[in-house]
Amino acid sequence: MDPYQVLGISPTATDEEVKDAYRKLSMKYHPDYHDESMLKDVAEQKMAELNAAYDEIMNMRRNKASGASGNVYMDARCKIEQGNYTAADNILEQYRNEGNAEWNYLKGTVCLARGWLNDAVSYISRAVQLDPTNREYQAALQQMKRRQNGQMNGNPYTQANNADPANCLCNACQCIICTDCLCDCLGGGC
Amino acid sequence: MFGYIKPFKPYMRFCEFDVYNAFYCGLCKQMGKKYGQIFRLMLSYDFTFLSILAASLNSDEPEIKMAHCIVHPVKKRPCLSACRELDYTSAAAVISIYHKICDSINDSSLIISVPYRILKLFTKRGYKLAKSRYPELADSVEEKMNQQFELEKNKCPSIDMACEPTAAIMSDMAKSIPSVNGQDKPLSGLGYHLGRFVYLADAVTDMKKDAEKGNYNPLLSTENPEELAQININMTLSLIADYYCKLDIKKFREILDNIIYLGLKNFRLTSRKKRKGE
Repeated sequence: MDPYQVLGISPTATDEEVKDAYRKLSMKYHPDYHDESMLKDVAEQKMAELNAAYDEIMNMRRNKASGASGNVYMDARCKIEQGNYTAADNILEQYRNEGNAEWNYLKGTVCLARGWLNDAVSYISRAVQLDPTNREYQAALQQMKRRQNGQMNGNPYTQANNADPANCLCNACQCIICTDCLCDCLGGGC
Repeated sequence: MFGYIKPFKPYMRFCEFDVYNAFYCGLCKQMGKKYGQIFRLMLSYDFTFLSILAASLNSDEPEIKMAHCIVHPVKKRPCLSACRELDYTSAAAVISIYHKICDSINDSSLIISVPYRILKLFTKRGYKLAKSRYPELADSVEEKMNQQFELEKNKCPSIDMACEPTAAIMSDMAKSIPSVNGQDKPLSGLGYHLGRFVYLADAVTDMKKDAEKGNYNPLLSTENPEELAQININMTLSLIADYYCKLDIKKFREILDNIIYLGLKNFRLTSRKKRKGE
């Protein structure tokens, strides 16, 4: 269960607000207040939930301060998938000095979506450099390489990719000469 | 804005070329009628593309008539009648032309800027009219042109950053195409990269001239400008194609395909502004 939901606050709440919420709820559910009542068991269970949620949030925040945990990158990934690049970038910018492979990959993806293509290539390359075994990063880099070489999806002119009319003429000449050779072989003259 | 978004004629069929011309003539006439004849002198192909793109997103049948005009007084030419799409793209073109003139005044010395200043005087009324009809678009273009001016003044070394204002303007113009449902994202992406492409193509074309005169050019701050330019243009074209594929095109696909997949790639052959020394 979402620890923030247990405390009835939003994930953006400050540390003070988390503590406040915890204090208020623990006053409400503390087993000492329910000593004689029938609700003692329920209160105890609720209290255990509260403690767990509070610990989880505090741990998460401590990790965040010392370095981004996987959760943060998951969050950024979600934001990217939703198309909310500004939010994703805001999250990433907080951990700029961390700069590990995942960070570089996500930053590159945001850059690509925003159209900052040179930045995208350098971030994605850096991600592959830092973690050469990751298939996802490799695939992204490969795709950027294909783009650099001029790949255009959905191109109906792949036959005439270079669209050089001289080339077409050349092909036509070739065909005529070949046909003519065939004619000659068979003894006919044209 | 600079006339780099053009079809590649050798691969165009006559019937497609007629429709293309009808859009060009229709847009030209509409601009003259609504905003002043002077704008007709400065119409670029980019807005013909925008008009066709706008029309391609719905399935209404366009009304094409044969008509005379000042440029073609003898023979009648196919010409698209006024419609919602032309109404929008003519205003967008006027806004863009006016700011291009302002930009040219900023870029040149006092004496050289005189003809531009005169042009500005003549185009101001039309611009105000277009602005009154599309105030958000006009404001956004103005803001981004100022950004561009600042970037160029500070000799911005990053290609991505230098492209941003032009790209953002085109993105806004594509996004504001009237009554399109749920295609904002691909349109905005397509516009962004078309703008990026236009800026890059212009930088490539002006590279030699800028190097000689010592003007700012984002490509010149790099070691191998030719190669970097090609890589950048290739990447941009690739993304243009990606966003284009996401659009729900109802008609004129052949014309748009020609421009996107052939015309852009061959801008060196088709653009009116030729590279110096070639």
